[in-house]
Amino acid sequence: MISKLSRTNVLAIRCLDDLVLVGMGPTLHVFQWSNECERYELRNKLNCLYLSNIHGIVAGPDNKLVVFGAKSICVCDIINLREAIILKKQCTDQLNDWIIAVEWISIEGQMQLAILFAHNYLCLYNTFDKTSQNVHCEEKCILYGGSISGTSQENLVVFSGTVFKEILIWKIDNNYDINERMPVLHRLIGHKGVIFSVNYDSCSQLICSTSDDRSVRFWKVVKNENLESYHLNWQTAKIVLVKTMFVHAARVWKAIIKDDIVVTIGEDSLMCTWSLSGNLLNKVHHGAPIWSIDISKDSRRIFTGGADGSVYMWQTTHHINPKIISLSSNDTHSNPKFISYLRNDTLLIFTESGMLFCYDKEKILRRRFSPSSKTQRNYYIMQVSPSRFFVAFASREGYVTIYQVSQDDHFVTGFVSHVIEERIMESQIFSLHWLEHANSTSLIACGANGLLKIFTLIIHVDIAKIRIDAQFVLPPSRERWLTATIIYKQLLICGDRAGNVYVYKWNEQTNKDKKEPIQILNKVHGKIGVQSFNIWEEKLMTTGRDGMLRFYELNKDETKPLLMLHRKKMPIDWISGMLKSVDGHCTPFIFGFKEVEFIIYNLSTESIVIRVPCGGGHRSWDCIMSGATTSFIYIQNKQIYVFNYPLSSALFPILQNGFHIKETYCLQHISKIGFLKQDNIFISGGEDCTLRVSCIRESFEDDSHDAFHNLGNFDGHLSGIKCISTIKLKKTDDSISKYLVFSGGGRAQLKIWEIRIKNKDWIPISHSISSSDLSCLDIKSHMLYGQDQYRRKPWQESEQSYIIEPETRYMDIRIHYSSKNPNHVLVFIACADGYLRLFIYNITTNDICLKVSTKHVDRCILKMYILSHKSKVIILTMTTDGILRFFNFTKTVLKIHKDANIGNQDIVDFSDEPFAEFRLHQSGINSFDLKHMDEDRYLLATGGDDNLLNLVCFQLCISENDALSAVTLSKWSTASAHSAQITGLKFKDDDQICSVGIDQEVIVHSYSWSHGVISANKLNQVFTSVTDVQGMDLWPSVV
Amino acid sequence: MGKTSKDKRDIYYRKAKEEGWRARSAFKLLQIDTECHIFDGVSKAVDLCAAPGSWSQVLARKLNENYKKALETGNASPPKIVAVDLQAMAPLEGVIQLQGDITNTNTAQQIIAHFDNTQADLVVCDGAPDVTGLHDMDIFIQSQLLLAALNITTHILRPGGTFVAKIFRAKDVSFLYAQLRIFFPYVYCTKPSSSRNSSIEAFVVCKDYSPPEGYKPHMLNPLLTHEPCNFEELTGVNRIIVPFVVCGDLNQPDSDMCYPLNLDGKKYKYHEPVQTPIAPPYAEALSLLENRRAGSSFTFDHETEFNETDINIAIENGASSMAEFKKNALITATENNSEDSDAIAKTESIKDENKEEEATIAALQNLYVSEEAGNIDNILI
Repeated sequence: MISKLSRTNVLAIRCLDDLVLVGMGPTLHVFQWSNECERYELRNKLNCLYLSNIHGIVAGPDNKLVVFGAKSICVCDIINLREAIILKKQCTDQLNDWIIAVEWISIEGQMQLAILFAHNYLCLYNTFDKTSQNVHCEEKCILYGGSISGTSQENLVVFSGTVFKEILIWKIDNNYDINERMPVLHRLIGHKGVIFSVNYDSCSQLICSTSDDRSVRFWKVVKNENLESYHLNWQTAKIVLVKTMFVHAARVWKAIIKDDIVVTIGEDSLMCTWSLSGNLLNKVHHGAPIWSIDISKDSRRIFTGGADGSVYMWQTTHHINPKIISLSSNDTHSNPKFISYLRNDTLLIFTESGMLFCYDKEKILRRRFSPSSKTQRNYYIMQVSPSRFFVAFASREGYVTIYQVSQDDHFVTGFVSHVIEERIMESQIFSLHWLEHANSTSLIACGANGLLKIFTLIIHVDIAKIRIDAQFVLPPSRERWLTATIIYKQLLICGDRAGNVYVYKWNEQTNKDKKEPIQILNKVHGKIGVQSFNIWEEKLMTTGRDGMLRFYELNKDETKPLLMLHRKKMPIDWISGMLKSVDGHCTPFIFGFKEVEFIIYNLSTESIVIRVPCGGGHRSWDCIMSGATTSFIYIQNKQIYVFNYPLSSALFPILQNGFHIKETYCLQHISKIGFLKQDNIFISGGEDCTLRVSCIRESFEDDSHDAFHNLGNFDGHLSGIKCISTIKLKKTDDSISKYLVFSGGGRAQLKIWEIRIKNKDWIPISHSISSSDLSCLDIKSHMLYGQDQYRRKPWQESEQSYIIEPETRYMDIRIHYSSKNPNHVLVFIACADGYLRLFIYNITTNDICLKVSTKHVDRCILKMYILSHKSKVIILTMTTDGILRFFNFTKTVLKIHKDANIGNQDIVDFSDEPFAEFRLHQSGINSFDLKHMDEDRYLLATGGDDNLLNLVCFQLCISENDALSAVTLSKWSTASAHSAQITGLKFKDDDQICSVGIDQEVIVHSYSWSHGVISANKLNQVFTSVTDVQGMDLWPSVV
Repeated sequence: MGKTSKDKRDIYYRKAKEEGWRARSAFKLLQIDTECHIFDGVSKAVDLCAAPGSWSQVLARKLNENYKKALETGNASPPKIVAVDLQAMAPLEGVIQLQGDITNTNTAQQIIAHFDNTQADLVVCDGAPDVTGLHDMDIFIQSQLLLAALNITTHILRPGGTFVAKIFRAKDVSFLYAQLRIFFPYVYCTKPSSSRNSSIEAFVVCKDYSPPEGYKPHMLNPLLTHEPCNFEELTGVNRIIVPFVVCGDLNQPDSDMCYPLNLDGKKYKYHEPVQTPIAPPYAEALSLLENRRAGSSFTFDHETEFNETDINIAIENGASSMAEFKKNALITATENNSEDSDAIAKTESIKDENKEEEATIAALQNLYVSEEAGNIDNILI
């Protein structure tokens, strides 16, 4: 058994020329920049520290690397050939103490290792002959962090960050015998918590420390002037605390000092960039707690590793001062109203008085004129085309005038040339938008009474023409004009100011009829208009001012062509739109405002890339990402602010995508798809409140790596997801498979999702399933005590009024679904308040209704199973008292189905005693699996909190009067297989069973059943680097 | 989250407040006693890593019961309890408090001095490290804490005495059992029912202290770390397996279960925590955050660097005083330049208006304040 793929904490990361070395679990992963793919690609991996996780990687001379973690170190060679990266392991050594830091040093011309241990002593370690020399510090205490600076034994300085909130600086003092305890030279006091890291930068002579107290502290090393010397004398130097910064909202793990910046990372997922004087330059969000960081040699790229297994690349940022443009102050009417960039960096400013100012690249005013020079043309709306080649103005009298980027000379910016002016509307034009479709340049104008006119600009040699293509009508509403529009797969989709979305049939033929919408979606983002429409991964996406992205796709239904899919919460309140990078990766960037900041968010990494404190949502602003620069402009106090960031959208930021940010509680394999069934689709839920659909692609070549893809992650749970259960729906359409997913967890919340996966069995093996092949509908959310917004009533707020019911957790979900009742799904839920609850879900009406709520004993139910034995429905419950109970639900299930067919929603009483009880464990049953042996005999495996693994063979009997009973035939158990809780158990083919526990052991046992006796023995065992295993699933490999 | 939500989630937390315990962990020691009878005949006890003091509370109560019982039958000496912790702890009646480091020999001598140079009958340790979230590191630090506790115990425990300590049941747990078995013939791993099912925490109960012949306790030689560790040895047949015992019978409430607030027909009453934590490491960070929240709104002025206005709360050490800094943080101003949403024409009669949108900086700071504040699991807040 070996680990094929993992996603766990990335605790170490190191840049080495064009390579990025990543330590995840015990395995070293090597990524290399590929010019061809314009991204970093995984080239090789090596299991360096089996049994321990990699905590650090240190590069030495001659392609040598030392990889360390816990009490192990591994020395390996890394050989970068053009066609391959070769990793050669030299040795893996077990040491006697926890390793805090390692450095390569030269001792008598030989490269050796200086190792700092958690008990605050140093070891000079010879990797060739394994000899070592320990040097102790006089202070004996536990270290959480520390570093070693220096290149030889003489100039070696140790920075120890202690559990007692101090930083100790000490070195090997030649005046002492090597076996004596070395004195502490400096004791830096100030932190209020455990020190997690201390770093010293010899160029800036700065020490940066990070701590549990959430602060970052800078300490300056000051040479003693009287003892002038080139080398710093640590004995006589003075160290002063220069700055303490509180920005991180949780523990600060690490800091890195590089040239003129310091970058800190923490548990709060923030990466903060500081100047050496301690000013915050940028604060970005990784999406998951960040464990590791490194900066490339050229200081341009930062790499971070997260708790979710993700590895991202960032661009270093520095402080940017905005450029401010003020319009000439002698003109009192020159309040800027609209601003926008054109494609050649021309900046357009359109004022309230109808004046247009054209600025060039250097922000010098080149031209100033009024498009409304003629009478009866009062232009007041400006819109730039998506290509940024054209700019259109609309007037109160129904006129439209269009200008384009000056074509005379491409290098001269700051000019526009007139294309056409025409009256297209009888009334005032209320709004004007550009439409992108089939290479034509079209606009949509909205007039009085909701009249929409689509017209195309046709330029033939030197003659420009406007052709009216089609007319539509917006239904009446409070504010009857457009806020955004798009053409999506033969549909024209419009959003009005009142927040409604209208869907019209669209065809290319010119048609003069005024068409009505065929589908209306009300207030999709609340009562404020949709801010933008975008197409992402073949799905339609709307953005709004409710902080949500909403997704849609085409439905087969003619009357409702647009199907609303899931929604996604953004860390942005007012989401204005999206921009895709122009490289091959089409990285999606979301723009918007959150309180006083403008935010650019990378949707694929789910991280905030940039924040600009601009003061809040602006009437007019623009943002372009071109080449290596991102520009953001906005109007404030009648002035135009221009920010230019050295941020390229074309640098693909993902080296490796991550999995759940916090604990993964449940995981279920649902399907194998692809030509060779090589793509394994699974669903998982976790403490981060998200449901994930992922794919593991098995590789067929010996040497290559199984690949992990994230197909989608869906939020909507208010608390962690503890359990999921799925059913596959009957196929109505050969091109897609549909699944119903039931997820439950904290706050007694149940959610029902419909997952649709496109059938890709015919496609070549070289193509993998991608997120565009998956769609997810968030179809139902149910909370036991009602949704939050209905729960707290003002009149309940009186003194001493508490909601008495417990906030129960849903611990396990099981589905009873049979072809006899294809419309109804029975959902059994095991709850932490000791209740077993049974819901009925109607697929057609999308109604869910509680039918049974029963408690047998005051113990939390951890696991549950539905055993359909002959015509009987038997519920097995496993609780924290270690008892397995059998309940006969046959009659209740029949009654519920009968009720459902006549529409009776009453609660069904169930208070039957269990017909059998097996006392299997001293405490909680954490895992189980059940297997049908023959006729009425079953094999059950249970694993408990008490380290005990049980194998029980039992028989179910139905007596003549239809009563059920269960009898244990044989039982086998072991308490010595695992030394901690057993959290996963699965039966495997060939009479084998797999178990996994918190002791990180995965064990395969083989069992046999002979002469009525069950017994088992250990076959194989392997360690997993997952420290807090929550469960296990098995699926057959196709290789 | 209301203030009752933790009461609903955690029955032992609620019960601890009702019964006046400083932390829910008091029940763990009580439940261990019902199963393992650790207090039988004990009159001198040491509580290592005692803060916030709930185990000392249990010791005080149980040892006094022992004393009263002993008085009925004849002469008895009053109980003596010494509680040791690095941090200061609120005083407790009948408990001698010692602020000290358990890895230091002086601490051992001080404890013995309090017992008039005799040794203790029972040593308990409920110490846990500041959890980092890195499981392997947390488990290592916990094992070091246990070994440090064992080390000082070898100085202060009388032969035949009992040692109870917290242990994390994880990867290398068998290794720790092996260490304990050198000193105690009877080692059990116990889990009180008040400890959650999902938690890796358990307690070792070690009875009949019998150090190896010729063993001389000294602090300079922590046992574990300087001994070569052969993992294979520990996974093979030589692996030490210790019995696992669950403490607390079915009459005890279930720590994994959610209970209604009105329990057993009694009307629920909210109780304030008995003892709030003393100086958590992030106290300063929290108070700074609150100051920022107090300042209601801010202006953005591009004349100043943005980091100076709000995003950063930096303390210029030695330069400005704290009071000055707080004053700066409270400067308020209104902002009137962000405008209302959409660039949409309105009818002639409605003049475009600049709506004032007050932007508060406080909310910005709240962005990433996660549940860290609630991280101190065992201490009642």
